[in-house]
Amino acid sequence: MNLVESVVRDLASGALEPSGLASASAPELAALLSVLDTAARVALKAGGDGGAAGEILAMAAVHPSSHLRRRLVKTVAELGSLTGAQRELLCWAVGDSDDEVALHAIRACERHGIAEALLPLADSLGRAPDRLDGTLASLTDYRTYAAMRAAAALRPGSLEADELARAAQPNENGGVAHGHTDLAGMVLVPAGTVRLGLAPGARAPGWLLADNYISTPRMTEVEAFRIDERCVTNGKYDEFVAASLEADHVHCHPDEPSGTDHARATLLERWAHPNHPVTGVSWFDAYSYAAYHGKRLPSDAEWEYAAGGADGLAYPWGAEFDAGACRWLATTLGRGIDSLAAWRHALELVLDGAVGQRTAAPDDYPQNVSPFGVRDLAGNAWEWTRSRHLDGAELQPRGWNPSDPRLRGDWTAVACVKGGSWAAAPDMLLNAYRGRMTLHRRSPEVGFRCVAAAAG
Amino acid sequence: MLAQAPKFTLGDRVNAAERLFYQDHGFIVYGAGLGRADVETIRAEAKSLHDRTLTGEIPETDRDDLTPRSIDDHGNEYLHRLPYFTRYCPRTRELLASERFQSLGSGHLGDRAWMLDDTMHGVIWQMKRGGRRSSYSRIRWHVDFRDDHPLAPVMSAGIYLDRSTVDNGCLAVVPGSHRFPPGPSIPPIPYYIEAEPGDIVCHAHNIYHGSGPALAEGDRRATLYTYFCGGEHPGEEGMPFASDEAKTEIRQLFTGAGS
Repeated sequence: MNLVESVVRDLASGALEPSGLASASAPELAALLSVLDTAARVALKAGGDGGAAGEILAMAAVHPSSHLRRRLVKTVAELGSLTGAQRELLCWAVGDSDDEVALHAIRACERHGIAEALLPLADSLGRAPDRLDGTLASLTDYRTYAAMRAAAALRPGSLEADELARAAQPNENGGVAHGHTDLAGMVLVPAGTVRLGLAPGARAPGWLLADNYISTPRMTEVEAFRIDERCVTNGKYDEFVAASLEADHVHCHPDEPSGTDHARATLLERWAHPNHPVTGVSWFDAYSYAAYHGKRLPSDAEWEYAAGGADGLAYPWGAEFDAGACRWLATTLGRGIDSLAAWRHALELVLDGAVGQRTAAPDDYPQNVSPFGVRDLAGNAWEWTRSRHLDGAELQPRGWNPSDPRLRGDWTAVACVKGGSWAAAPDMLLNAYRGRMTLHRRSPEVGFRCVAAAAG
Repeated sequence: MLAQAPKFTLGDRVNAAERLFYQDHGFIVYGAGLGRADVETIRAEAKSLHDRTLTGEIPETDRDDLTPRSIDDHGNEYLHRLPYFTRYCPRTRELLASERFQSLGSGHLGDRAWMLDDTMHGVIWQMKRGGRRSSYSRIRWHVDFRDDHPLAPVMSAGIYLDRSTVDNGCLAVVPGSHRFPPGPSIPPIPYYIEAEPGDIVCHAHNIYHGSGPALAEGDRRATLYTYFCGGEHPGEEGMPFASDEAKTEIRQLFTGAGS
């Protein structure tokens, strides 16, 4: 049996199982993927849509391991010319829940001018194909930017295409009995009547059309709680994944997609240092981690209160934006960004892979601390909350699998994320800004921190 | 208090953020879109038209034929729908003709948008009410028009004349269903839109929407509905509910509290 046939057999038999990949060390995983990479290249080079090549494409495209999917899509994306099945694979992968998988597919669709990708791109943006014109104001992350750009490129002559061409260069807990809740590294936030939204007289930087992404100004009562002083790190998260393998998903959300492998999508990324905020985790991953530790994700109001204090500061450090105070796209790239156009231009660098180190250690920006002593809230990594984006109610997932097309129409599957990331624009760094992210997505921009009851 | 999406403020024209929200979710709420005095104007003209219709002053061709008259607990007849509203209510007609109100249509549907008026299902006052003998207390899940209707795209702009809450049967929509319609395998999860008098609630022609029952005798919710259209006027014969068959189908949407 040759190499291709053996890979196909293993894929078909489930020998390449998620748990096997999850428990593999990073070097083992890299080695395995290298073999698959070679197998895929051999099969693809053999040409044609049928036989072993088609089998590999079909099975790997829906494999639970995002590392496998990413390697496959990347391999296909780098081919000079594409067969029908390969184009179909890329169109499918545009909607992948792993941002890096999707990004390779999106860029390839744009590069190869795959017109049939327009509909899945529009779907992934939640728009009708004829309603893609307009601003980039609903942007939360660079994957969305890439999808908008690709969609515009596939509709030449649209307003968006012209605009982007100018910008671009040659971008509660599960309640499981596990043990006592470890409150080390958590900060107590007292109960109070708090101001949410922008305080009177405060203004957003205004680069983005943030009106419907800013908390409605209001006063609200918040009970005391504890919140992680810093985001959960890659190291801590990987420890959880390894430790929880035996637990058979008992800590997980009951509507978590079946067969979920909680390994973070950034496992092989060199920039994802052990002491940096974890990213590449879905809402379900974050939920599971929190529940395993006897904690839960913060609500959007709790997060905003922890960031702005009782007076509702605009940023954790104060009322005014400070370009050097946190990890956003300017500090990530080490260059000035002073306008929306400059920010979009800089996103192109992200898409081109020109960013080396993405996240930073949480204490690299000492000013980035809230009145309650909570660190690294602004920038670095968006943070999952347990609140719905549209109305701030508690999320109640419905159990769609990530590949289920019904997910795209489900308004209840869109969570509020807070804080902005290493790729953010200044508006996103406001404490009151409410980003949006579908629950299943694993983005290199999104992580989380936990809260616990005040009494502990 | 029910968690709510943001309410927007209606300015002289619709802005890009509002357009974006409407495109994404299929609806948008403008808080205090009309002031108290304007709401009172519409209420007063509605009462007058209501009474004139009951006394037979309004010709039969201009009276609603979708919902039967109801009886309150004092034995008094009342109506649920008053069509041809601007034909008989001049001050309301003037309000709706204002540039600010008209900007809703052009802002969300484009410059070609026009307001459906002076027809049976154009500008219409509609009231749901609780009580044992109310024939309209709730309305089942439905879309107003299919995408292939000559009038489409259509945006309904409802001016709320009474407070509307979950408890008295407020409007429920499925956000995003104008793009991704629910079906037998996708049970609709409603988002409840609570509104105050003067709020303007706009929604797309093809968003799934309905409302729960107003149960108590005192519960009532009156709204003045207007429709902005981006398509073509099909003529009287081509209007949405011109045929008896269509009317029969539409009547089934309106149900009493006990249904």
